[in-house]
Amino acid sequence: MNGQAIEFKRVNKWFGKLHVLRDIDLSIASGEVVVVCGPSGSGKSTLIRCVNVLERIQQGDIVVLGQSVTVPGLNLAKLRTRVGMVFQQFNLFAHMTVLQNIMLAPMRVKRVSRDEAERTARALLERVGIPHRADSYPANLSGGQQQRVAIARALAMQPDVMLFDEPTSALDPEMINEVLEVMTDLARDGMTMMCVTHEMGFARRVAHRVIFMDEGQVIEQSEPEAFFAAPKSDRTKQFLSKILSH
Amino acid sequence: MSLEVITSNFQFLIVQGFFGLGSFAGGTLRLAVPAIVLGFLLGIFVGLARLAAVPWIRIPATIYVEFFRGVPLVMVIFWMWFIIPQLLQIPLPEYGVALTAFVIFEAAYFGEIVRAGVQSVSGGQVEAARALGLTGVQSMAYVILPQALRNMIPALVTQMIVLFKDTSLASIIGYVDLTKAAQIVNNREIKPFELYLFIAVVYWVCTYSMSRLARRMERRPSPV
Ligand SMILES: Nc1ncnc2c1ncn2[C@@H]1O[C@H](COP(=O)(O)OP(=O)(O)OP(=O)(O)O)[C@@H](O)[C@H]1O
Ligand SMILES: [Mg+2]
Repeated sequence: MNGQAIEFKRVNKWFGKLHVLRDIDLSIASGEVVVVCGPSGSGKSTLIRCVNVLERIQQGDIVVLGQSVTVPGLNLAKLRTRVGMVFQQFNLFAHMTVLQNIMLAPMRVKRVSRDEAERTARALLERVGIPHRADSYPANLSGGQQQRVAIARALAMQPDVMLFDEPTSALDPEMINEVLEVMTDLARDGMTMMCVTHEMGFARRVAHRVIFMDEGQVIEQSEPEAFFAAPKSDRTKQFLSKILSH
Repeated sequence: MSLEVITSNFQFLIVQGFFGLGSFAGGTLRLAVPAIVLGFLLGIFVGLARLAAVPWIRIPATIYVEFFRGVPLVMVIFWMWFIIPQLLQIPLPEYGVALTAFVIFEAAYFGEIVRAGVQSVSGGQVEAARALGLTGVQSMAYVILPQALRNMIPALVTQMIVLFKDTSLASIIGYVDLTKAAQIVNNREIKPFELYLFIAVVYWVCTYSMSRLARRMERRPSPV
């Protein structure tokens, strides 16, 4: 695929009086991997949550895979089947096994047969490296395993775009890499990815572009090399010096 | 103490008074089981309506709950028994009156339990479901309600036990449940000690089995 996967067009959003997204103009090409970073409260989560319409925007437009999110009567389910999302807190369905978690949406939303859904689910578990935990409940998995299941669950819908909101922030350090490896593989396979993360190693190795946000604005965006070596704005420099010094 | 009064009236007390079998309108179970089932089903709607985003659904549901939680059950039964037939200009049978009163009254309590249960499921679960393309109704059916029901089990069973015992109130409008049956036998044979001890045991065995069953369901590792 080529062309633009996601286009933000002068997007503005408020929570009450709080202006959380300010005049965002941003395009993400098909197959591109973009890392979004910035201080807490800068609007990163809000930005990606607007893409699959977990949040509504008040001004401007976002075109996702050719579909505007502001048209009246938008088919949300259809849009969301094409856009996978992975959350910081995994949000696996606690009352379902790993396999059931992955099979639910393909069966109920896409009306895939049980057999086919199960075959896909098992193949995906293989891909994220935990085929042996198919019948476990989420509570019995480590954080890293849960997040890998969450990725498999999103992939089961065969999305064209994947959104990640701090997928490794809730993990113990020794589990971060197993999740980043899955994400790296996904990127190498050509998935379009928008990742909010502070894993700068991942950004450097995998991202095509790094975006820095502050106070609801995109302050700076460039290729990882340039972004880390020669940040243009002072706020970016400040931010980088803080998180890279850890 | 002799159990003779029980054995000689066993058929009347248990088969008719407790189960409600036979060619007359009565029975504790015949009232309690549909009251619990229908009250709970209506309660699901009431509870979900209490959480609705649109005010014209939420506000009536809230008024409903606050009203019926604020009045005595006996009063609701009397209302149904004396006032509704007058308004409708038709006589209503005891069974219909008692069942309707219980369902309407208990739905308010079940509704509150359902509301709390739904709210106990984290918002992240809903978001994950919606993000996968499930509709609001599908998220409710496959993700929220199964988890909410599980969290609700203790409160739900407590309420079912309360309702089960409260069916004895139906005897005040002449409905022949276990309590009324014991009363009828007692009026004839004057054996209050044996009779009321016996029905206490029957009620207790039922409610205790309900709470044991609930504990088993809670412990069950795999969910609904
Ligand atoms: N549902 C909401 N209602 C009101 N305010 C909100 C809501 N969600 C977020 N906010 C506010 O909007 C601003 C941006 O929040 P957002 O979660 O997008 O930031 P973030 O960059 O993801 O921060 P973090 O790094 O802490 O996750 C914050 O000030 C936050 O308090
Ligand atoms: Mg965030």
